Amino acid sequence: MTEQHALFDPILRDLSDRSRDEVLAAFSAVQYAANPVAEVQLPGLRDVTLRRQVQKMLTLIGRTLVKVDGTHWTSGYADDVAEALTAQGWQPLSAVDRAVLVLVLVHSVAIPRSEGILTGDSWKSARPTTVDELRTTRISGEDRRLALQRLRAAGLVQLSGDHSGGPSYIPGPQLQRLTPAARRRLQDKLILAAAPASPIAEAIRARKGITEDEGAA
Amino acid sequence: MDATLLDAEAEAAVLRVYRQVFAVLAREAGAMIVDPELLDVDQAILDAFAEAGSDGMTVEQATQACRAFPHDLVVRRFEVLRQYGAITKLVDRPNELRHRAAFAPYVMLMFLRRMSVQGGQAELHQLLTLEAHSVSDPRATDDEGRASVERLTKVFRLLGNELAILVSTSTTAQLRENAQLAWGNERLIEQAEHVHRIVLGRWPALHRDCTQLRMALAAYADAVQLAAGRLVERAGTTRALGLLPIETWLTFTRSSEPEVLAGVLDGLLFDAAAPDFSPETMLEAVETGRRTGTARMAPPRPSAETEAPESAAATDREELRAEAERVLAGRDSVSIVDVVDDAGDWVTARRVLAELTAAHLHDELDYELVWSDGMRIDPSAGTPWATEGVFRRVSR
Amino acid sequence: MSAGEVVENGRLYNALWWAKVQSGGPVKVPVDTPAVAGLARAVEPDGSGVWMVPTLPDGAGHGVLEELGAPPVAVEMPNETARVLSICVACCWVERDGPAWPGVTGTLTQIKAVYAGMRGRREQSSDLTLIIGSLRRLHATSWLLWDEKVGEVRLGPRTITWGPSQLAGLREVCRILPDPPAAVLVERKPETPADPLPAPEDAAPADIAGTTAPAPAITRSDAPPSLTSIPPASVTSEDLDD
Repeated sequence: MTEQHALFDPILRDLSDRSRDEVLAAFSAVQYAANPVAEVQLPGLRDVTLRRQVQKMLTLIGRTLVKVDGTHWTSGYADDVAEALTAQGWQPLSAVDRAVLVLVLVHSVAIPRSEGILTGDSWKSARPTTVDELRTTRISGEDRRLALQRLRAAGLVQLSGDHSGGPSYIPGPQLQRLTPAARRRLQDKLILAAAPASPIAEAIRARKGITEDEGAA
Repeated sequence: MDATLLDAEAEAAVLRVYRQVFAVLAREAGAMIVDPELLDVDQAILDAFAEAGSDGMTVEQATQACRAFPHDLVVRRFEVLRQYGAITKLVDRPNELRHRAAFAPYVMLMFLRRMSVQGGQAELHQLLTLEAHSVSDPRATDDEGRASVERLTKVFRLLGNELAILVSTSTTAQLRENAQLAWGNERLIEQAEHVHRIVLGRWPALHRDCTQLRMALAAYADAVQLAAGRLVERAGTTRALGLLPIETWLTFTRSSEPEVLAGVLDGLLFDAAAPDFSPETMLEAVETGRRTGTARMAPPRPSAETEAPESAAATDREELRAEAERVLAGRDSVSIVDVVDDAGDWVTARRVLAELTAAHLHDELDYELVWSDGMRIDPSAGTPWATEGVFRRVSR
Repeated sequence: MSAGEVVENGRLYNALWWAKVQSGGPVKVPVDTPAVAGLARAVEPDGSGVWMVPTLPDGAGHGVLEELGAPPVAVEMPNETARVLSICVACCWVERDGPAWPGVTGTLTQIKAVYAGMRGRREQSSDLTLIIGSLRRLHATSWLLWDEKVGEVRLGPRTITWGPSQLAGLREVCRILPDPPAAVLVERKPETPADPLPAPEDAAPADIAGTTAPAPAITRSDAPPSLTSIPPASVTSEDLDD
């Protein structure tokens, strides 16, 4: 007889031993594997009924299933939970860490998008951001080095395979945990910050106004 | 009679310049170029003429000066430029071999290159600056003011029409390719409004023409907003990033305070690093870290591919440098046998050697690892069998 | 407020706390903070606060990742880090019949001594770089509470989730590590190499060829028997009922 878990037991107790194992395996895989896991690999993701149980477990802890490339799954923060926590001022990532991450995202994702050389619609990119590109800002070398170390430990950046010009970085697997709404939010915030007076920024503000109205209705 | 003749002469002069400036865009006489690299050849030829001075050049001299390009290609481009009058004989006589070049094609070439990079926006900005300059001239007449306003009205109508047609007829992809039409429009419109203010202030009678310009500007602004809205709506969750020019991104990263950069991630949450250490992992790590001495193999010569279990992070340049300096401890060179012995056991030695190999291979680090053929065998050592060699600094 | 809404709010309360802990790591809060379902409470011995630490049901967690071939985010210097954590367990977990949390305070001097003892040699200045790096990593992830100014360490709140089966494994880790007291500085590790020289027929070809990959110094079959001999009945997680 296994120990009861105060939070998950209401979901788990009605499952057969086998279903329980499969649900827990899928839950663990989407929560703790660095990269999204293939749906075919796990019965807990393949079977819609079991997947619903996985989603229920995730909902209890403020998370949700995120589908990646149509064939893989991972988990990320539920949009309402992320919004509620950040609205309270909760942001564990330091400003320097966030700034360095944004620099990597601009150089590895935004600029290749402007060059038209990045396909797909995610924050994944193989275009490396070099240390020189990170050096162009008002962050000291030591701060940047420590930030990169922390970001790497969290899977927010990773070393790119291309070391021809010294170490270089690409967005880490954790960026794939962003829900579609979070991905879009990041895109919009980046455009609003980089080109606030552009027509694109204006279009974003206009669209946000609409969604807010819809949300209130 | 005289007037007609003068007109005809003026027309001929205009045509001559037209023909000259379009020479660089001609593939053959009568056909447009299809390969933009031909412009490089044209530029090389015109550059050579600039260097040649007032003596001009023969075809042979031109091909010699442009020897970076295939001989036949230079001869063909020379001929095309000649047919369009961009290059003419130094003196118009049958046996003249030396030629001279007109300056207008070169200016055109420079404009073309700039337009190809900036999509014509920069030129439009310059045109607007020139218009503002000319209508501000105290000697300017109301006719000149009207002409200026009319030109701008037409430019913005064309721009607005192009964009409006794109928005209504093209796919999102096509629209995105033409997103440059929407870039920097704020400044374009501001500049045009500036010209408008000057003209209206100086010649209130031109209010009708000015109204036309205002309408053209408004139509353009609407088209831009419509295009931007449609693009953003259909750009998905990351693709709208491509709607901004690269320069905007670079300026943003270079000039923003860290707080502004960090602010982009407001409202987003990320997972903290949460590595797991099971007792099994810990036990295994301790076991492999212990000096057990049982079943130890002699270390083979590490190859470039050597990947010790812990070297994933060691690819970091500064960490490699730190490790190299630790091993060198102020010296310029250190024996590998000493390094291996200092490491204590082979598992540690292997990690150190892997990092020294990585430091050796790293482009930005000035160290090298040189293996020799000798072998040290000492049964009492932590790693009894060690290949001889040195790790040392190199100056590049 | 309807009953449904109360449940909903309770759910949101749990969800927000869990999201906090996943995004910020275990958080220290005032002791009077209400309990959150599934989060263990690691109370500071001095009563200065309580750490909220996530717990998982049996069958969930990092354990399943290896079989799936889906690794977690890589740890820098994983083996060194695991060794230093082991050494800190040996230094700070003195009452090995009881839980690991909160344990006692250990010192950098002890850690350095045990580290060198584990390596079977004298202390080296280079050890410190590796040890400090690992201590910082472990502190940043709440496995340890490392006070760099005074060179003191305690086990971190994450260790509260170690149940009886894990503690059995950790006892084994402590057993094979040298004892931490000061005497360890001069003490040689009890285990001495049984056979310091490799069999010549194993070693010779590799050296002649010079290209063969290094053979593993330790094979997996060396795993101590105690790990496999834990009776199944003890594989429960009584640490959840905090």
